[in-house]
Amino acid sequence: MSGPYKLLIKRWLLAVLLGFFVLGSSAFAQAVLVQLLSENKPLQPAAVYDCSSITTELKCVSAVADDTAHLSENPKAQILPRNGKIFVRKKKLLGDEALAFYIAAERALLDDPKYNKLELLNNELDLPPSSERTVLIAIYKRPRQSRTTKLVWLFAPSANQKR
Amino acid sequence: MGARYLTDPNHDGWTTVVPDGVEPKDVLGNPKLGLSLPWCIKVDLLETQDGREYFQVLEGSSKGLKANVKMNAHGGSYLIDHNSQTKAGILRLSRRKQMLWYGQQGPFNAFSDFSNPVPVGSHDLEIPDAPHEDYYPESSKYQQVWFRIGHHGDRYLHLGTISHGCATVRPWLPDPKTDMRFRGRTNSELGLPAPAPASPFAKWDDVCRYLMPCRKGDGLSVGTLQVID
Repeated sequence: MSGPYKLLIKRWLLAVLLGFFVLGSSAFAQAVLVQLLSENKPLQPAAVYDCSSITTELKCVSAVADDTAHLSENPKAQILPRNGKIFVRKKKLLGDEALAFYIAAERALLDDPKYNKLELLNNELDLPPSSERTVLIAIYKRPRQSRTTKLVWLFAPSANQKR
Repeated sequence: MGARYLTDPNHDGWTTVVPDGVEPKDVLGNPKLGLSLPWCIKVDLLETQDGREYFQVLEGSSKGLKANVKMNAHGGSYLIDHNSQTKAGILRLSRRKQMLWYGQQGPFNAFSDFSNPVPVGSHDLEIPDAPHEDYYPESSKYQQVWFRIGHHGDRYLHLGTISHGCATVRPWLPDPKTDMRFRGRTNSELGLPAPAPASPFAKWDDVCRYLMPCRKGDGLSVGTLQVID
């Protein structure tokens, strides 16, 4: 094998090992499949859940509680600005049919969770304007695994519709 | 073999056990594959084999599930036959006064988002379901123990400084003028301005030690939360 290929393989292995040890095996497996970007900047999810199943109310069944309704109660929560279209970058092994996006007003999750499905068109999502803080979730079944991943992003109210 | 009650080996209210159909080594590698059970939960011990105890959960949100747990390092059990469960717990929250009482203790500092508060009335408080987010690790070892208010929805009694409509027990009073973490938060979700003089801050560990062994007798609840305006 020639030098440049060896170097590439070494770098790839190093990246995989770093990802594994820095993020942990489970988080690494989940983190690499879907990423959201706005204005070319990645949008950090507020939570990543590893679920044995998903309920009809889109709650994650796991050893830890699904606190989607409470993530912004974290004083350190990252609440993202709404900046137009959101670009979705996903790994090829994740088919379009395996991935779904939903939005809901955060406040509505306390008593009567009502999510609306958000269509992914040309790898873009269009968040409708809202006067309320919004929860965006992505749900996908991990390829060749029985587990499902749920990612949650928090968005601030639209700039001109804040209450 | 009979009824047993889960101890609290980690002193944080939670023990991870291995659900039926999952290998113990897999849970060791990824604890999220496990089943989290709260201190004092009642189980039916089915059998002991190869240093593991097999049981079925008899109450709470995991009722009916089968799981197993290893014996501890000294060959002892995390499941004991001494029943430390007590009568239903009673808590009272005054929304306007921002005061909480539990058992004979109180008042302590607690509140609910002004714009979406816990409704006035008597609500069941559920046996803790699973470990919740750990926003205040410095404040309490039991801070991942939350009690759902009522039997549906997502309102909880828990430790916190920001409320979206839960009964939120403050570990301390946030100051958005000096603490950057609270900039941009509304007074409503911070429960500010707080009534003066402020009530003392409860030790969440003590609230949990009081409430976790309480049982209402319905197989779901530890007691009731009475909310007044």
